Amino acid sequence: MNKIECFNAVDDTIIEEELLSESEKHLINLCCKIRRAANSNNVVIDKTEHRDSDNLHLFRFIELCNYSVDEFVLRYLRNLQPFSLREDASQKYDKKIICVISLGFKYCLYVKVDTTQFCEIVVSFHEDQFYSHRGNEFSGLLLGGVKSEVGEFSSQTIAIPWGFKIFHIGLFCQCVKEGVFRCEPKILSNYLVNEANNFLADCLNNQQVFTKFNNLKQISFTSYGESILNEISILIDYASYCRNPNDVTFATIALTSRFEILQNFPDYEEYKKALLERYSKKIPDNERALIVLGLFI
Amino acid sequence: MGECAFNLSLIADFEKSMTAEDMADFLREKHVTNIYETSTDHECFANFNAELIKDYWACRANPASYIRDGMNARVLWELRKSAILWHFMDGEKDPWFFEAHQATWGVKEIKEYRASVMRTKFIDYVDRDWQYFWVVRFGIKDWQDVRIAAELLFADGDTEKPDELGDPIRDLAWRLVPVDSYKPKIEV
Repeated sequence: MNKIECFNAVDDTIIEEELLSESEKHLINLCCKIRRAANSNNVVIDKTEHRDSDNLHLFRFIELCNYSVDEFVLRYLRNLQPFSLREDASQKYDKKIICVISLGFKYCLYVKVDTTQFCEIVVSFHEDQFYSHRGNEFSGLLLGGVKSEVGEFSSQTIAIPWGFKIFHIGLFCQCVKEGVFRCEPKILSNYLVNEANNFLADCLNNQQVFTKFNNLKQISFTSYGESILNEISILIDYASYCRNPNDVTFATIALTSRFEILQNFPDYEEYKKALLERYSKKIPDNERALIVLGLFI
Repeated sequence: MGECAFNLSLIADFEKSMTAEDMADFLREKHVTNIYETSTDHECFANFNAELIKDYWACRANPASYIRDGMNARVLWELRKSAILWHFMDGEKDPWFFEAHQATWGVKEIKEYRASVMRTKFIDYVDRDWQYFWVVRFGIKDWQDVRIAAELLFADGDTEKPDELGDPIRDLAWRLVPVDSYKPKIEV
């Protein structure tokens, strides 16, 4: 290495260290490990019912939205982004366990990758209602994009899995490490809230004046998508969050039409069961949702 | 007085940096019994361990101050419920509440003693989970992170018994103003 190369190498290291804190580097590392695990051939999705939480309702939801659970989860994890993640280090009782919580939903998304079980990688993937009260501070860190110099600002298109959708978002961001970008966290959360509001407007039959969601914590993982269950989920989230009687009425009318459709499905009982399970946890936030659901089921 | 159940010099010692893995090693080293775990099912152990390491990280109490060789997880859990009251009971100034816990005590004695102390402030306190919740709610920082009911984590646990507290805040409101439209989800 000549003198100039050596200088550049040192310079890059300095830039990288300035651009990323140790905890951010750790989080990126965890996210990359989960992505790698999801790409391996020996992944098993943990479908056993946990003792202390109803962890299977999301899988039933996924199946009723016509996805294969395994494909859905692996696709999500292959595209997992670090910006909304926080490590749950308290669950890491063994070095081969990675556990992260995605904070940007009404009920946090819990992802645990366990490589201790013989030669299989066991993945847990469910909503975590116990930790729902935790914050939603985003780091703004994203993986993907096209090659860029460290420290350079550029426009990038990044794939972001969120709920039942994968958004491809064009963002102006800074490259903080090879393949890692940072954007303003508020831009990301605004984008996602806006997407939810657009979907909500469609569900409310393009109602012109209505109170909008203003925080990601008001919207569930299951409320981003295209199926009738996603529509019902966002309308229930909306009816649970709104205090304005007009808005609740809009949501109730929209839900009535969705349930009329649902009742004609041959497997209506399955949908009914999935919805009741989805909102059955005895946590305060669910009470309003259960009342709304009780009007139709 | 016999041997104290707590090592009082350790209860508020958080000097050492600890990970959940360190805590798990410690629990295994001490051969704590009665935590449900099989060779492929580590869920209960992970949750049990998580509670203890969260206590340590939040500087509520150092589990090393009350974990003894071969102890039963139920006794451990009750000692833990007393230990995390360290700041609330002003243990630093005068650890009388902690000194009184005896190493030979079982679950019943620990609960009865805690109830006898709390009863001086809350007359009907009998150390039910929902009552202990209120002590935690007002006495402990980051109370939302503290899991109280643990029935499902024990190997001899009753899986039919709910491992949750219902809605203590609403239940309290109901106790103050009973209404027909609501019924507490847990035993009053």
